[in-house]
Amino acid sequence: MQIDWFTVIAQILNFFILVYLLKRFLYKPILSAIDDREKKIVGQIQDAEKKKSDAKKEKEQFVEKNKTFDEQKEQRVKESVDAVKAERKKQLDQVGKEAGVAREEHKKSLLKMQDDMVKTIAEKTQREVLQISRKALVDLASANLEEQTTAVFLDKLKAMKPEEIQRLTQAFKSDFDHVLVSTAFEISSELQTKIRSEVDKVLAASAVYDFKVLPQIISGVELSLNGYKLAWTVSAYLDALKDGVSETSKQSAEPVVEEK
Amino acid sequence: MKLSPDETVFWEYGFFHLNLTIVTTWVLMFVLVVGSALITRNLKSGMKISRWQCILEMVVTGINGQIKEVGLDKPEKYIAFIGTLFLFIAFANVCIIFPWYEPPTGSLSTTAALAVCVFMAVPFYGVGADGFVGYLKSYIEPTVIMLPFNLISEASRTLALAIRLFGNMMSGGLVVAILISITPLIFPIIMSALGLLTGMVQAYIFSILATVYIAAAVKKTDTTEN
Repeated sequence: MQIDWFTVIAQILNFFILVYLLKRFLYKPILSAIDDREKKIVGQIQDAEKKKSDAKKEKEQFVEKNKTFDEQKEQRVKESVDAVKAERKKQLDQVGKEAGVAREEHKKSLLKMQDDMVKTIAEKTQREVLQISRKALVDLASANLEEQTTAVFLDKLKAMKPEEIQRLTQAFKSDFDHVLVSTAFEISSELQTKIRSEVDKVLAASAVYDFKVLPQIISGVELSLNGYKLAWTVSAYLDALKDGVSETSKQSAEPVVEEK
Repeated sequence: MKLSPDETVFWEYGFFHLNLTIVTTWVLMFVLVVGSALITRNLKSGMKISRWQCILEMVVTGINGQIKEVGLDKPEKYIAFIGTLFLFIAFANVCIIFPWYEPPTGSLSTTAALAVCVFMAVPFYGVGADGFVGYLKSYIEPTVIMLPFNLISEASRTLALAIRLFGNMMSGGLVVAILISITPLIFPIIMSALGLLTGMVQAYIFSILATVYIAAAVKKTDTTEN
């Protein structure tokens, strides 16, 4: 057994060639791949660490924001409750005022109704009294009520006091002034003549007369001359009755209003 | 009976000749290089890799780990040499399972060539680590008296490397050949299996010793520096 030196040299060359080729085709690519993978893993770990850190920061921010949000929410709720309370108080005050006004209006309306009712009652009473009086006068004296009232008016005219006569004559400024005589019913020409003569006497002049029928007088005679008025009517008597009835109604209506 | 594949000569021209050792080495080299090139052609750096890439990565990282364990801090620098030593010897020895195959490592010329490569690599890496003068100084450490002993040590360990590998591989092949002639059944299989084990162990021993020698040279210069 001996060493073949050519084979030794050839094997040395072969070996170095193999070293180069394996370095080129095996170790370098494999080690590069391993390095790349390690870098990737390190990158992924760093990325994961960064994400973890970011997530931690975001969590802290979220917690902080949540805290701030809760505080703001509580503050807003408190403000809202206060605002609602204030608004409620305001609305209640306003409703109270409106209710007061409505109560006043209702009270006024009731009083007006009462007044109207009293008026209606008075008018009805006047009419009834007048009819009763008229019937009674006709039945008892056989005389017309208008005649009686005219007679009473003429008596009153005759019985006028000097100062009243002066006021009437002062009202009559010229012959052209119209004397307005109002009655509840159409009166006869005889009575009209009587009235004319009596008034002319008082005026000491011949005036122009207008006779007019005013049903609201009910019964009686009313004389108007340039703002001066002389009258005798049943309504004057009935006004006292009306006042009495009105006063009584008011007294009876007051408690009703208070109760509401 | 031929004890070495060197004796099988295919072609001869004066000093030059083509024997079985060289041809077998070329075939092994071709298989190793083409196989590596085919596998590493589509390498992936992602998490999902092919089985072949996984095997190669395991082999390369295993060699890297061994080099590091011996004491060389930057295994990438030495893996080309040491890794090729291991892969070539291991592959050459493992192929004994093929019939009529004669491993090139059973040739004293091949083992001597590999030992010479190691003999050259030791000063190469030593000089690379600390320069020519620094490396030469390591031979006269701790005293000049140690110079002949160091030189003898260098030569003897190179010789030991060559003889150890050759002896083991040649004897393994020889034992199988003898057993085949005596008991052609069963025993040669067992001996071949043992030969596989011996071959792997020898590849490991050869490459690890080379690593130790290189590490000693590099460390020696480092120690001298300190």
